[in-house]
Amino acid sequence: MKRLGWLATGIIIAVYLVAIIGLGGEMTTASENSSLNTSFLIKVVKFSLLQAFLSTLISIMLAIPVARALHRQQFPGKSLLLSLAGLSLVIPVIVAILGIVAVHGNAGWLSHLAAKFNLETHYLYGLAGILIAHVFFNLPLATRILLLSLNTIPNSSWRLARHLGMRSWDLFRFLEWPLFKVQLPQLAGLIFLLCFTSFAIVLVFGGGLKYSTLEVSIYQALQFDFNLAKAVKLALVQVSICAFVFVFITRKASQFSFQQLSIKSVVRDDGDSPLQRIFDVAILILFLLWVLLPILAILAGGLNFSAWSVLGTQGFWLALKGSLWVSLISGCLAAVIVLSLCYLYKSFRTSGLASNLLDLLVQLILIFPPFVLATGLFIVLRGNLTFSGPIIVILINILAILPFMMRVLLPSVLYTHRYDRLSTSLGLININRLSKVDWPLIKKSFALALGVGLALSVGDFSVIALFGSQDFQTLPLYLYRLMGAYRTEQAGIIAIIICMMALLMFFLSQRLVGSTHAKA
Amino acid sequence: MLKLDKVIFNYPEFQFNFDFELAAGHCLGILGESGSGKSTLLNLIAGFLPPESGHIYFDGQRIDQLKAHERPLTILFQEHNLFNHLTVYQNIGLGISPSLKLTNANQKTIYDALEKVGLPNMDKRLPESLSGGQRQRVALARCLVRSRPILLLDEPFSGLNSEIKTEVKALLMQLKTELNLTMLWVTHDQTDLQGVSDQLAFIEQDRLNRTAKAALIPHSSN
Repeated sequence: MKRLGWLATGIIIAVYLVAIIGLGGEMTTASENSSLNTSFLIKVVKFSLLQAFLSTLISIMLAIPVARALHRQQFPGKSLLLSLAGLSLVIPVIVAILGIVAVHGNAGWLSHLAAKFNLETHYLYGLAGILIAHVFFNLPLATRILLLSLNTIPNSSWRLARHLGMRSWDLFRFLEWPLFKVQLPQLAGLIFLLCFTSFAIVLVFGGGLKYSTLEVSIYQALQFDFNLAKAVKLALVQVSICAFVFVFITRKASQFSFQQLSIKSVVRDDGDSPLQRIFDVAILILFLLWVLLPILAILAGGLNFSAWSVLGTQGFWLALKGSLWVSLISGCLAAVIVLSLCYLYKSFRTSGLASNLLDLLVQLILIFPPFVLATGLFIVLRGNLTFSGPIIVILINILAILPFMMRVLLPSVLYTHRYDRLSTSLGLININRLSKVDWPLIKKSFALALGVGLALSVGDFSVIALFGSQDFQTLPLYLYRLMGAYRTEQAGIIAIIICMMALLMFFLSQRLVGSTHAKA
Repeated sequence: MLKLDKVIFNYPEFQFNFDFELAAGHCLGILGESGSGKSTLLNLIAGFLPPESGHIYFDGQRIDQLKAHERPLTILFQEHNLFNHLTVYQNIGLGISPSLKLTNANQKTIYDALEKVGLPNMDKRLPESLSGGQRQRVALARCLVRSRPILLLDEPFSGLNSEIKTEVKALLMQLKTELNLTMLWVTHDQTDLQGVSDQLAFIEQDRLNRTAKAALIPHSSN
C-alpha cells in the first residue's frame, strides 16, 4: 500500500510537471506580443477579489445569527431542517444554478410574485447573481461549521452563564465570540478561496468584461481567443493570490472536521423571550426558504413531463454515456489512489514535514486553475481532441475529487495505527493485515469516500467546458448547453437525471462496498 | 536464558543502555516512572525498535535479527490487545495463523486455552461485550496458543480493579510454573509485582549524561 502511495504521489507530481513543461514550451515559442492588457488585468483581479470578498462577508454575517438561532431554539423537525440545509452542500453547482434561475431569474418565481405587486425584478445577472449563488452554497456551509463549534461549548458553561444572569449579548461576547474568533479566519479563508476560483456560477451569471473573474477569463482566453500566453499569465496571478490565502488558512493548525451534526439539548435560555423567539423563527424561515426554494424548483422542473422527450435525443445518450464513463473511471481510480495516499500519509506520522507536503500536493488543485493544467496536458498529449479529451477530463477530475475523498478516508486509516504493534507481533502483514484488520475498520469510510468521489464526478462541470466535443459530452455540459439555448424545460429534466445518477452512485457504493456483508 | 548484550538505543536527546540476563522460567519486574524507558526496553526485545548496537540472545541464539513475529516471545499489551471487530475465537486464532487458516487441532487448542483462562463458551463474543478483565484474559489465551517461551507484559493491569488484578495474577502465576515461562513485566506500580517477580530492575536515568540503563536491584531487597 505504501509503495502504491509513492507511485500515486509520483504520478500526481508528474501530471503537474508535464503540464507545466507543456505550457513552458508553448510560452517560449508564442510571440511576446500577445501580452496582457494591464487595465484588463486590473479590472479582472479587482472584480475577482470584490465578489469573493462580498460573498464571504455576506455568508458569514448571515451564518452567525442563523447558527445562533438554530442552537438556542428547540423545535420538532430541527434535524430535518439541518439535513435540508445540508443538501446545498451536495448539489452539483450547475444543477443548483438552474434552480436559482428558476427562483430568482427574470421569469422566475419571485419575479412572478413581484409582478402581482407591480414590481420589476431584474437582479439575477451581474454581481448580484454571483453573490446570490455563492451565498446559496456557502451560507449553509458556514452555518454548519459555526453550529458545530457552538456544540463544543459544554453545558456547564451555559449553566454558569445562567447562574450569573448573562443576557443574549453577553453570551455572544463571552461564550460564542471567543470560539468564533478562532474559527472565522479559517472559515472565511475557505469560503473566499471557493468563491475566488468559482467557475460555473460566474460563467452563467457574470459575463462581459465587467463581471468576469480570473478563472472565467482563463477559460475564455483558451476557448475563444486561443491565447495561451494570456491564459498562463492570468493563471500565475490567480495562483499567487490563492497561494497567499491558502497559506493563511493552513497556518492555523486545526482543520474543520465535516463530522455529523448532532442535536444537543441545550440549557441556554436566551431564546426563551417572546421577542427573541419571533426573531429566531423569522430568521430560520428565511434561511429555509433561501435554501429550499431553488431545490424545490429543481424538483418541479423534473415534473415537466412534456419535456421528457429530451431523453430520446442522441445528444442525451451521448452525454449519459460520457458521464457514466468519466464518473466511474475517475471515482474508482481516485478511490484506489486515495487509499494508497492515506497509507503513505500514515507512514509519515513521525515526520510533520513529509505529511504536510503530501497534504499540499493533494490540495494543490484547489488553487491551481484546472483549465491551465488541462491545457498544458493537451499540448503535451498533442493527440486529437477525441482521444485526449476524455483522458484529460478524467485526470483533472481525479485531482479535483482527491482532497474531498482524502478528508473522508484519512481519519479511519490513521485509526488503524492502534493495532500496529499487535499486528506486527502476530505476523499480520501485507494482505493478511489488510483483509483481517484494516479493511473491516476502514470499509465504511472507504465506501463513503468512493460515493463522494463518484457523486462529485457526476456533477463536475469544469474542464469539460473546454474539452467537450461532438463525440464527447457529459450531462453537466449538456445541461449548460441547453440552458444557453434557453431550453429551460429540457434542462430541468437533465438536472433531475444528474441528481438521481449522483444519488444512485452514492448509495450503490455504500451498499456494495460498505455493507457489513461485503468481503474484502 | 534471555540475555541483552550491550544493547544501545538512541533517542535524539537520550541514550538507553541495556545489559542484563534473565534465567529461563524467571520473572523480571521492571519499574520506572512513565517515560523512563520501560516501553523502549520491551519494544527493543519485541522487535518494534531496532537497536543501535548490541545483541539480544535467547538460549544462546541471537534473536535481534528476527522479525517481530518470528521471535520466541508473545506480548500482553496495555491496551488495544484485541481487534474489536473480530470475535474472541478469531482473536485467539490469529495467534496461531495470521491468515486464520486453522486446522481441527488448532481449533481444539483455542478452546483449551479459553478453558484455561476461565472463559469457556465465550468464543463467539465480541470484545466490546466483555469486561476489562475478561478482555485481558482473552489476550492471555492468545499468548498461550502462541506457545512461545517468553512472555512480555506491558502494564497489563492498567485500568483493572484490584479484585480482577488478583484473579489475573493468580492465573499468570499458574501458567508461569506450568509452562516454565520467562517473563518481563513492566509496570509503574510495584504492588502489581508482589509475589510474582523473581527479580526487580529499575530504569535509572542519568540526566547529566543523558543516558539510562536498567539496574538490577539486589535480591535481598525483593
